[in-house]
Amino acid sequence: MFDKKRQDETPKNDYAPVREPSTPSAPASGRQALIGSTINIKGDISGDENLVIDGKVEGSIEMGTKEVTIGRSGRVSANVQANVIRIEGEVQGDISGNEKVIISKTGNVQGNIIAPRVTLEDGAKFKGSIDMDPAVSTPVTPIKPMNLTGSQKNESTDSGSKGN
Amino acid sequence: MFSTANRSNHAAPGGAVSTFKSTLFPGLFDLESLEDGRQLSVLDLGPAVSTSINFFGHYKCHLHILDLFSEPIITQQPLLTDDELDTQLSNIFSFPESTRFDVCLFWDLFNYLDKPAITTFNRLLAPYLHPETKAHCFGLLKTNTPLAFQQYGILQPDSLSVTSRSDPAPVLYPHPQAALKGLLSSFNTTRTMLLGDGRLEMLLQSRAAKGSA
Repeated sequence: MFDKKRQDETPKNDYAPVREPSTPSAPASGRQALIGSTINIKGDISGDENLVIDGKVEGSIEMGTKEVTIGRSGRVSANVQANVIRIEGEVQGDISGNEKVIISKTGNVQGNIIAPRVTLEDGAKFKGSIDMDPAVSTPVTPIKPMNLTGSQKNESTDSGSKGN
Repeated sequence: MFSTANRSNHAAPGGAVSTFKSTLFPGLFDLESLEDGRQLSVLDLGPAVSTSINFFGHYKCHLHILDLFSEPIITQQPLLTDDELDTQLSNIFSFPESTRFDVCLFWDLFNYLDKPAITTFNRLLAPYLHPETKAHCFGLLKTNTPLAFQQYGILQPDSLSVTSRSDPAPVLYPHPQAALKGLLSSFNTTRTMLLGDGRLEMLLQSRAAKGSA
């Protein structure tokens, strides 16, 4: 899904290199940050751009009106809030999607989901609760700047910890 | 009370999906009230299935999806003591105190729980029922009825998808209909349908007293 993404040469910070959006679901005006597969973050993430997580995150993720994708190698132990949330990897935590939440066939979620629409692909694993209301319109969530706080770590040699 | 359903209810082999038409299942839902925007609270003890999510996605609802079939209370039941089983079920049934389910989907669960486990299950679920709670399950007419290990999804109010589960089938604890009714003391059996493969499709109604909602 993300093979065609182009790498920006000037990352915004050490933790989340910024890439130009390339997926059809990414807003044309948006930017996209990537947490790579060897990155391990402990702390709170918030921001105003789409976010792809291929690494490991413990804490919380708040991306307001943007889109969060947890890639196949992504391992998230956190509450996640965004406009659209796609899960191809593993998530333990509560998920709040302003518009929709999509759990792909490789996704594995344990937690509670709140979203107007939830899509579960065949093969996806889910345990928890789902609160759906198709009549709810998309609320506008205040935009917060990208902010990594707490005890975040950038461990480029942490690939061995994936799959926890 | 019984009628024999002349249809194939076994899941298609190799994980392929077959369809099961049910005359009882529509009795679970008051679709008119759902379309009025009332929230439906559903307890689904099977695995999360895309067709069910899609079905409930048309309504305002709160789904609790537990897949007890993959939990140790099923997969390791012969090894668990009564205390361990009680503890594990208590942990699973740790819903918010105000939770009251409108619909409970048990599927084949009671065919994979022994009598003490069903008694414990019944006791722990009772606080989360209200007088109008309805439930659905598959039992067995005779204890020697073969049973495929399968999962279900809701396509339409009268139509279920049936798929073979890929994980190993748990130990079977078949219960005669009368015994199962006795164990499920939180419910009255309102309708029963004898299916062509010897299973019983059962529609249940909560016996919770008025005022417990």
